[in-house]
Amino acid sequence: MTDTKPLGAAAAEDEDDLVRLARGGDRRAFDRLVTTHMKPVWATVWRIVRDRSDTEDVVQETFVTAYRSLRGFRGDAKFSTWLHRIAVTRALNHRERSEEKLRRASDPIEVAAERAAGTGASPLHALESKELMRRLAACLELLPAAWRAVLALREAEDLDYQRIAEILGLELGTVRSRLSRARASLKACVEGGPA
Amino acid sequence: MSDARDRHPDDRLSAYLDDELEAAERTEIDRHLASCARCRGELASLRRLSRSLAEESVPPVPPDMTQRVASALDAAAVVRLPRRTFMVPLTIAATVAAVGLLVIVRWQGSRAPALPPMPRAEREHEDRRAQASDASSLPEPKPPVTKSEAHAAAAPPSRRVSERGELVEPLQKNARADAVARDEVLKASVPAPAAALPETPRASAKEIAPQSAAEMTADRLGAAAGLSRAKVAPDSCGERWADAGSLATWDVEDPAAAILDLDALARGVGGRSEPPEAQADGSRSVVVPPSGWDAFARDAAARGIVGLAPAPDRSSTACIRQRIEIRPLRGGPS
Repeated sequence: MTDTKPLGAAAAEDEDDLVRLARGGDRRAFDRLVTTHMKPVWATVWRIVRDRSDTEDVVQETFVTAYRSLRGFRGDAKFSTWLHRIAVTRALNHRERSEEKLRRASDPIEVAAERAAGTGASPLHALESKELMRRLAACLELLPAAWRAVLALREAEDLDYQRIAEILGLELGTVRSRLSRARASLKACVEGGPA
Repeated sequence: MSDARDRHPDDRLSAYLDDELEAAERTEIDRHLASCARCRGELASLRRLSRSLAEESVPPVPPDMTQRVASALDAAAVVRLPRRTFMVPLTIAATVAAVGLLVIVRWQGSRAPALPPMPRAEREHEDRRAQASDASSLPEPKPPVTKSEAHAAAAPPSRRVSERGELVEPLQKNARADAVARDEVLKASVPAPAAALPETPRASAKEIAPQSAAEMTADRLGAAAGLSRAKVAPDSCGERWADAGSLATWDVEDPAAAILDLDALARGVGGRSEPPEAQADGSRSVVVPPSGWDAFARDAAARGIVGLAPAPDRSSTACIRQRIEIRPLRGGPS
């Protein structure tokens, strides 16, 4: 970052080499890993916290934590899985620290879902794309962050359940049921129209 | 047919969509879909929802984000640098100096009524441990010789053991030894009755036994901050600590790295961290001066530590001791 010029073994292209070098204290190797993973980490964190400024903070925390914890990375899992897990944990903690508890206490997503059950609901398939995206963005704000996390990893990152379970530290069955509930709630909210 | 409609597989359509069902289950749902228009519609909606989520735009990464991370990494490296490069040699030097001094103290203790000034090596050690602490908020019972020190020097052997413990305690090589030394000090100390203590310990600390004044201060701190009954012990705050009474928790990917992080965090606000006396696995005690509590609490919360004690009374001179349970995340990465 401050110096992207390759230096010795840090010029290695292979990610495993970069990780190995970074674990040995090669800062430039770690900088390369930051550059490589910045975009996907940013996207995942944003989809969970949904605030630009908070995303900047969490992304920074993520890479600093990864740097400090690198010695504990044994290489059993992919580096990207390990890094995503840090990012998701940080993002969820961050969200929990803010007003997530208050939001969840009032269960706005449930309110929206109940509205959808009423007569005024618009079936999802009948919505125009633009309107669908507008409602989707608003409803995602109402969704618990833990549900947004599982949706982000599945829908945006296109990860399978096994990998999501590894990242979130959940059982496979929990991933499956959480995704099902998140999608059902989101669908009901979109069809009912967010508050 | 009606039987199939009665058992719509709503809770499995999501996994069906993701192709995450066992073959038998998938076949079962295929059959149901073939005969149920409602579930076909539901599946189509989920599919559209899924596509829309994947297509949702994400704000671009700020151009300076990578540089910002680099700066944070630089800062993190600076915090850790003194620990690696200076702590070990300085600790060795301080230990050697203190051992020599201890011999002198013991020799003089049998002849002179007053203790010598605090050894330079110990001052250096204390400075190192406190690092960027607000020294003005951490007054220490040091020369000129006070009534309590003179009393201590002239005290019977058990009391002199206490003073030796205080001199040696900060130089222990590990926190467990610190705790043992601290316990020895507490056992050897003879606190004065609370009723006999003045109301303003900061003003009168030099007139009385230091432990007693601090104990009262810590008690009042505990009451003011809603903490449990305060305990007293000498520590790197240069003062006394009041036990927060609560157990904070911290879920981390790497406990070893978390402990280093916590050490740096505590030192950065003039405090320190160490394993608790009980040596409970996975927990850590952090001792923080009141002046550094807000910064500590903010940074700790930013790291995901929850359940911290409330902000202490600023007028107190006692530090806060907060226990933090460091819990490895289940099935942690790698």
